Amino acid sequence: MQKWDRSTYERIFPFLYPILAVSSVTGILWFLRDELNIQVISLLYLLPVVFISRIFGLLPAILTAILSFFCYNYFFISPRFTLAIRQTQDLISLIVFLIIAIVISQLLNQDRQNLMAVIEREREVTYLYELNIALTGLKDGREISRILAEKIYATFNADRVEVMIFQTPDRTKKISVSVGNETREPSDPDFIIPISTARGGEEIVQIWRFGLPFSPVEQKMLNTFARQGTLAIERAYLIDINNRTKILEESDKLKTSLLSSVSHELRTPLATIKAAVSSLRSKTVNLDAESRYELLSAIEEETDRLNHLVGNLLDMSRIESGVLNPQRGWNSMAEIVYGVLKRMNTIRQDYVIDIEIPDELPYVPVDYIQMDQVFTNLFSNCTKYAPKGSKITVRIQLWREKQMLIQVKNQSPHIAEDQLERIFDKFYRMDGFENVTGTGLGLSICKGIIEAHGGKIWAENEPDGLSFNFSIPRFWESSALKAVKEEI
Amino acid sequence: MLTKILVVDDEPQILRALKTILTANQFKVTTASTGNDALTLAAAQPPDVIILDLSLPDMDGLKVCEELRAWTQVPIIILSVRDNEKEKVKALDKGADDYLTKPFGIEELLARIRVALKHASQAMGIQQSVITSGTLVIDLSRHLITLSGKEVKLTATEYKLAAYLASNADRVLTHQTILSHVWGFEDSDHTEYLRVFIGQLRKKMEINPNSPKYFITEPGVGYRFVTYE
Repeated sequence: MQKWDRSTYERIFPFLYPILAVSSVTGILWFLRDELNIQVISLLYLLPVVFISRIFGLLPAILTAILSFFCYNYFFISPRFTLAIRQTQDLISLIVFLIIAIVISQLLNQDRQNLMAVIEREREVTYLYELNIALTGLKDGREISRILAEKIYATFNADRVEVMIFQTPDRTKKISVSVGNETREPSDPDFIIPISTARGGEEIVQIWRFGLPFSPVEQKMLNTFARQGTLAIERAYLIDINNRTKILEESDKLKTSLLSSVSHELRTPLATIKAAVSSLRSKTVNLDAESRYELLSAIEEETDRLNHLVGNLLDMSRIESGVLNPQRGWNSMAEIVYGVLKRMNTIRQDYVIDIEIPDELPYVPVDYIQMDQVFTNLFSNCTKYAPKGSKITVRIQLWREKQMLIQVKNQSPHIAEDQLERIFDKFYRMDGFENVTGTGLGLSICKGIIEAHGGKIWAENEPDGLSFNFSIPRFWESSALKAVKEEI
Repeated sequence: MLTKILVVDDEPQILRALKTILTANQFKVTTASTGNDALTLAAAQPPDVIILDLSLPDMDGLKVCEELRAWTQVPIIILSVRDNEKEKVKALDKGADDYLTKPFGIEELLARIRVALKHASQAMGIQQSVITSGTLVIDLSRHLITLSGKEVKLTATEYKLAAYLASNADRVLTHQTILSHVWGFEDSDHTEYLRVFIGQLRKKMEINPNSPKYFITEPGVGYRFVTYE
């Protein structure tokens, strides 16, 4: 026999009241026995039957009826204090009383049960509604499991709830969430709900509730709860799949545009080279010395261009794989700018270059070759979008605390505010400029390099054009490097 | 008088190379780097041949082609890095005479220019009545085709197809163009018709029908009748 626990108590409790009720009614009637005739007394004995039946249900009510029957007989039907009956009418009255008491308790009980069923159903619907509201919009399996566990814990007064979800049939991807304390020694759960998901996974809900078994209604509801959880997980999974598909589609589009732009960029210089070479070695094409020189220098320039493109692609893959470590040395930014301009003949011929660099500009710790690449890309960007003959301004100054600000301004058309950041994205090409050649790599490489140097790059619309600005930290020691890493 | 060629390309380097090479080959070369410049130049100094790139900064090369065709029959050779067949067919259907994919060899470009010029002069009334290619002779006035001196017997439609291809010797003709000229099909995709008849022609007129010499397939685009010395 188990010790006194909650359930035994709850089972016995309703049967204490009939005894209490019948004895108090008997007491009151005893005092009033001379005022009341026997019929009224039998009527009054129906009162506890009605109340007990209303509150505690059928069995306690029948107990009340039987107790009342005996008390009525014992205390009020003569001869008093015996259960013997002398008169036939008393016997009939007693039997009628018992029948009425039992019928009333049954009727009332049915009514009570209907009411309770309705209340139960309403509660169920409310809890389910609350669960659904809580699960709506959740996209993460762990979050869904947590909400499900918490709701079951609160709704069923459980001691502990554990929700386990195996997302794949082979049980490799597992989510496990538990709510409630585990202070007692490990024990088997009081109720387990296993549900297979549509994709062959499994959801298992385990509930511990000490001393109070789950009623069939509760079990049904627990099943419904668990099923709602499974549905939410399925929904989350579908949303996830949908998102993944979208991402894949995007990246596919990106790859296609990359392929077409890279092949265009590679083939254009190859076309010049092939045309020139095939005419140089042709016996039928007559070329004078000057033409030969012309063609050979075109070949050389296009080779450089191809080399630059390959360099850009390589840099991009280095940035992608995170191996772009700047080889920092103390360099003069002015020297780098002049070096790039000297190399880029076309920009000097086609544009008015205005350089505003203070004489006493300090050296900065940068990778010379990578900075050269940044300026080359920025200038070549200018030549693509700014009209020929317009002005390109390069301005360098000290900025904020321990930073250097470099601006490359040109007179190209403005960029919509919402695209100002996107132009630094990989392979991003601006709408409306489909015919401008390029891979959409230049600016993203600039961004990669500048960020590897600990700086920032951004574009701004100016009254008469567009400026690309970037900042570079003026100091970069190994200690500083460590500090930054630790912060991250 | 020198033959005038207008080269339209947005790449300064290719313009530079083509100008050098074509000038050395006794052509008078003018260049344009935008579609609008090309249209203006073509109107101001009508060239004998236009070499047109499809990707131009201001407008699509196809559009330039279309606008030119509204008023001039000057031969247009498309030069582009776009190597998909649909683009080629579109350009040819918009009235271009030929299509060359970058990168290209200069001899091939020169050959295409010569073919374009020849056809332009024929279109002005100097129609050749006898077309010869190797041992194949097609006499359009006598409706007679001979291969190595022996007469080739053709059905009416076969002859019509052979004659049409031969009279456009060395030019690429799109499926659609051939179908509408020979069969009168407008907007049709009965390329299987064409394939069958070309197969017949090859059986009767090629020395080795499996590796044809005269009736050449331009994959995805159409056919070309090739002439040899």
